[in-house]
Amino acid sequence: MSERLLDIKNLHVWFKVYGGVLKVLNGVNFNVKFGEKVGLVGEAGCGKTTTMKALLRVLPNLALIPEGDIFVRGKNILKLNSRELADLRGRGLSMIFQDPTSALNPVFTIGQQLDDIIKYSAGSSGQKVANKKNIALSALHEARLPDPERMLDSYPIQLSGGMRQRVCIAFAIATARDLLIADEPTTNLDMTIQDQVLRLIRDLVEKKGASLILITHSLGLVRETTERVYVMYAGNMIEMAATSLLFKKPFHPYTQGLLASVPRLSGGGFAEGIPGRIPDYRNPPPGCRFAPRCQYAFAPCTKAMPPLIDVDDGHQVACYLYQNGQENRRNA
Amino acid sequence: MTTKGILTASSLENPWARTLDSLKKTWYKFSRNWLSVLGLVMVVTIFFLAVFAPYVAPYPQHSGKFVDFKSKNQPPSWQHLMGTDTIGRDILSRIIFAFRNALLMAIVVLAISVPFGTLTGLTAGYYSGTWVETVIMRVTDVFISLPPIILALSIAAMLKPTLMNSMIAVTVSWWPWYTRITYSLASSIKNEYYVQAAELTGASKIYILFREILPNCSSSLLTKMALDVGWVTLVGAALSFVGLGEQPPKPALGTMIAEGVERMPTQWWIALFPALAIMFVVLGFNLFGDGIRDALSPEEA
Amino acid sequence: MRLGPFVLRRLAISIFVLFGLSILIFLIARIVPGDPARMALGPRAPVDVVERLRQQMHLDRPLLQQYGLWLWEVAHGNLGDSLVTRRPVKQDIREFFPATLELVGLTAIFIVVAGISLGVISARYANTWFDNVVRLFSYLGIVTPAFAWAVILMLLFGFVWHIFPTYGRLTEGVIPPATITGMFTIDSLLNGRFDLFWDAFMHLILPAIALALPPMSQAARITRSSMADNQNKDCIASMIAYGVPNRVVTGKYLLKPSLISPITVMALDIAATFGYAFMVEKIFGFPGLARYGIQVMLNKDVNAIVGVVMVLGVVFITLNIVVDIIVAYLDPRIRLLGRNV
Repeated sequence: MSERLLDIKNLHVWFKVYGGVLKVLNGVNFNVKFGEKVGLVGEAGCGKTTTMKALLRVLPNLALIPEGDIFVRGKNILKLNSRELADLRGRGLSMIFQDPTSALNPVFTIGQQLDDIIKYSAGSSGQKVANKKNIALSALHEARLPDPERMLDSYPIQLSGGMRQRVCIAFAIATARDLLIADEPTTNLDMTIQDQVLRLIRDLVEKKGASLILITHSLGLVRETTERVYVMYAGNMIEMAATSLLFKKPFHPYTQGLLASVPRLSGGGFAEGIPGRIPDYRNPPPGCRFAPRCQYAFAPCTKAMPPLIDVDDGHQVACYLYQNGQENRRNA
Repeated sequence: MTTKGILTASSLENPWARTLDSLKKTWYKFSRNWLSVLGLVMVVTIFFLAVFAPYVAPYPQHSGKFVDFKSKNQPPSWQHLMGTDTIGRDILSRIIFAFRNALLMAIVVLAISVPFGTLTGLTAGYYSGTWVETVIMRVTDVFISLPPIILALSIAAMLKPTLMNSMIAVTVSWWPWYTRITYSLASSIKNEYYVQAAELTGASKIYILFREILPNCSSSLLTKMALDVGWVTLVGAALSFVGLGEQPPKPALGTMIAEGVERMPTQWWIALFPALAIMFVVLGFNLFGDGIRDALSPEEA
Repeated sequence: MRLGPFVLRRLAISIFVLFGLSILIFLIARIVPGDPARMALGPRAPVDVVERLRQQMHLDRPLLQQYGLWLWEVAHGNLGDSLVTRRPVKQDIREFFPATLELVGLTAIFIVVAGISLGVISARYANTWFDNVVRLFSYLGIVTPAFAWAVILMLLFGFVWHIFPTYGRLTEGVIPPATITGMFTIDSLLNGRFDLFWDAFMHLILPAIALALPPMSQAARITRSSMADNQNKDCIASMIAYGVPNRVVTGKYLLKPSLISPITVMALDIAATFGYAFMVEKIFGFPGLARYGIQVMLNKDVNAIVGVVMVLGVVFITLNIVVDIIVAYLDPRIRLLGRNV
C-alpha cells in the first residue's frame, strides 16, 4: 500500500544461543503511514528493540529471520543486497537510542561523527553534500545545544546525559529523513530534561513532516505524543488503536492490566500490577503467550497464537475473547 | 496463574540441596564447551602423572642417576615410546617425573604470590587516593617494568641454581601482576552501592575487603590462577633451559630441551617430546582456565 | 588534559620507576653470595690483590654509599667491565643490543600487522569457516611457546625445505656492513648494499616468526573479540542506520575503539619477547643481547648483568610510554579523565 512508509508483516526473529533458540518475535505485524506518529508500548524484554533492529537490519550475527517480510516504501528490505540497502538507509530513517552514552562513539568527536553522517546522507549516489559544517552547526543549534562550534570538537564524554541525547536528535535533524525512530528517548534522563527532549522530537517530526515511531514503556508519553499506538507483549503485537481510543476502551486483558497499573493521583487505592512474568523465549507457551498470566484464559488460548483482527474502527486486538468483530467474553 | 520459579520450596529448606544445585549449574556452564572438558581431562592427567610418577613411569629409575650407554640415542620404539637420550635414559619416564617438579613449582609460586599480591592489591584499591595506594602501586610499577621472565632470570641467576631458588625467583616476579589486577578490580568495585552500604552500616574494613570486595574479584582471579599454572611451568622451563633450577641428573623439561637442541636434527626426539610436553601443560591449563571463566561468569539475561 | 601534559606526566612517573628499578637491580646484584672481587680474580689470586680490588670496587663502603657511587658511574656511562668478555660492558652492549633490537623489531612488525589483520578479517567473517580456522590456529599459536616454534621451524625450514637459513645473523664469511646503528638490516640499506640487506633479513625471518607466533595469535584473538563486542553497540547501529557505508563503519568507527585492548596486550607481549628471545637466539645461534645476557647471568658477571637489565629496563619503560601515548590518542577518555574509565 503506497501510503504506508513501513509495513512489517508476520515477522519472526530467532536468536541462536547455547541452550537452544530464543524465539523472540513471533509474527509481528506493524505499520506506519507517511507523516504518522505511532507509539509502541510494552514492558522490558517484550521485543520492541529487536523489532527495530530487524527493521534496520542491524541484528547480531546469531539472529535469524525464519519467516516474515519488512516493506519500506513498498520495497521488501529483507530481500535487498547490501548495495541497495545502503542506498535505502542513506535516505531512509534516523534513530534515537535509549542510552545516549552508548549511542555516540566515545572515541570520535561530535563533529567527526556528524561529518560522516551528513556526508553519507545523500545515499550512495555520490552526490557531494556541500557545507557539511554549516548543516552540522545549524542542526546543533536547532537542538538547542549551547556553543555549537565548541560542541563539534568535543567528545561525548565531556557532555552531560541530556546534552548527549540532544546531540543524537541533532543527528536526526541534520539528515532530514522520513522516519524517526525514538527508542525510549527519555528514560535515562532527568525529569526536567525529559520534557525538553520530547518537545524537540515533536517539533522535529512536525517540521519535516516525518513519521515517528515512539518506543516507550511510559503510557503518559504515548498519550501526549502519538496518534496511534501498538501494544506489544512477548514478541507479538496484541492490540492496536488510535491513542485516545485505546485509553478509553482497552480490549486486550494485558492492556487493561497495564492501564490499571498506572497509579492515579486521585481516587485512592493502590495500583494493581499484573502477576507473573514474561515467558521464557526458549520454551514459549504454545498458543497465546499471555495465556499463562491471563485471568480470562480459556480453551483456544493454549492452541495457537490469536491473530490481530479488527474489532472496531481502526482498532485491532489479538485475543480469542473477541472473535468475528464481536465481544465474546465468558464472564460479563 | 502459575508463577515460574527457579527454586522450588523444598530446595530452599535444605541448604545442601542449594549447594548441590549451584554446583550443578556451575558444571553445566563449564561443560558447555567441550574444549573446557578436554582441558579438565588434560589437567587431571597431568596431576595424576605427577603424583603417581614412580608407579606410572615405565622406567622410574631413569629419573635419577642412571646411565646405560648401550641404549643411548634410540629413536622412539615400543620399548621406549619417546626414545632415549644421550646417556640412555627413557625420555617418557623423565618427562613424567619432570611434571612433578613443574607442578610443584607452579603450586608453590602461586600459593605465595597470589595471597600476597591479592592482599596488596585489595589494600591499594580500597585505600586509593591515600599514601598507602601510592606506595604499593609505585613499588608494583617498578617490579612490573620488567617482564616476569627477565626478572625471574636475573634473580635466579644471582642465586645458586636449585629448584628452591628458581621458585623464589619466579614468585618474586609473579606477585605484582596479581596486585595489579586486584587493584583495578577493587578500585572500581569499591564504588558500588553494596560496598558503600556496608560502610554505612559500620562493617569493619576487614569485613568489607574480604566479604564484599574479594568475592567479586574471585572469578577473574581464579581464571588467572588456572591459566598461570601453565605459564609458570613455561617460565620454569625457560629457567631450566638455561641451567637454573633443578640440576641434572634430576629431570626438568627445560633442561631436556636444551640437551636436545644440541642434537638436532638427527636425534630430533630428544628436544621435541619435552617441548610437546610443555605445550600439553600450557594447553591443558589454558583450556581449563577458559572453562573456569565460563563457569564463574554470571548468567546473561 | 590534552596530549602534551599527559605525556609529561607519564615521563615523570617513568623516571621515578627507572630509579626504583635501579635500586632493585642494585640490591639484587649485591645479594650474590660470594665475593665479587674474589670471583673476578679467581681462587688463586693472593689475598692482598683481592683486597685491593675490593677497595677499588667500593665493596667495603656502606651499601647506600655503594649505590650512590654506582649510580654516579652509570650516569656517566661507565658500566664497568665484563668478567666474561673482559671488555667494557658498554662495548658488549653496543655490539649485541642492536642484534636483539633488530630481531624484536621485526617480530613486533609481524605481531602488529598479522595480529590485527587476522583479527579484523576474522571479526568481519565471524562464525564462517575462515573465522573458525583462524581461531583454531590462533589457539594453537598461543599455547605453543616460542622456543617450541623455533624447534619446529628449524626442523622444517632448515632441514626439510632449505629456504631460510637457520644460524647466525649473516651467512658465514660475509662481512657485515659499516656500522651506523649496529642493526645489519638498516645499516645495509643505509650503505646501499641490498645484497647484504637481503642476507641479514633472511637470517632474521625464522627466529622472528618463532617469537611472533604466540603474541600474534593472542593479538588476533583479542582484536577479534574486541571488534565482536563493539559490533553490537548502539553507536555502530546508529552509524549504519544513518547510511554510513559498511566499509567506513568497520574501518573507522568499529576499528578505532577496538584497538585499545589489543595494543595494550601487544605492548606487554613485545616486552616479554625480549625475555623469550634468549631461548630462540640460543637455538638459532643468533648473537644477540639475550644470549649475552644469559651467559653473563650464569657466570655471575655482576657488572654485565646490571648493564643488561638496565638497558632492558629503559627499553621497556620507553615502550610503555609509547603505548600509553598511543592508547591515549585512541581513547580520549583516558587523557581527558587522566585514568581508565
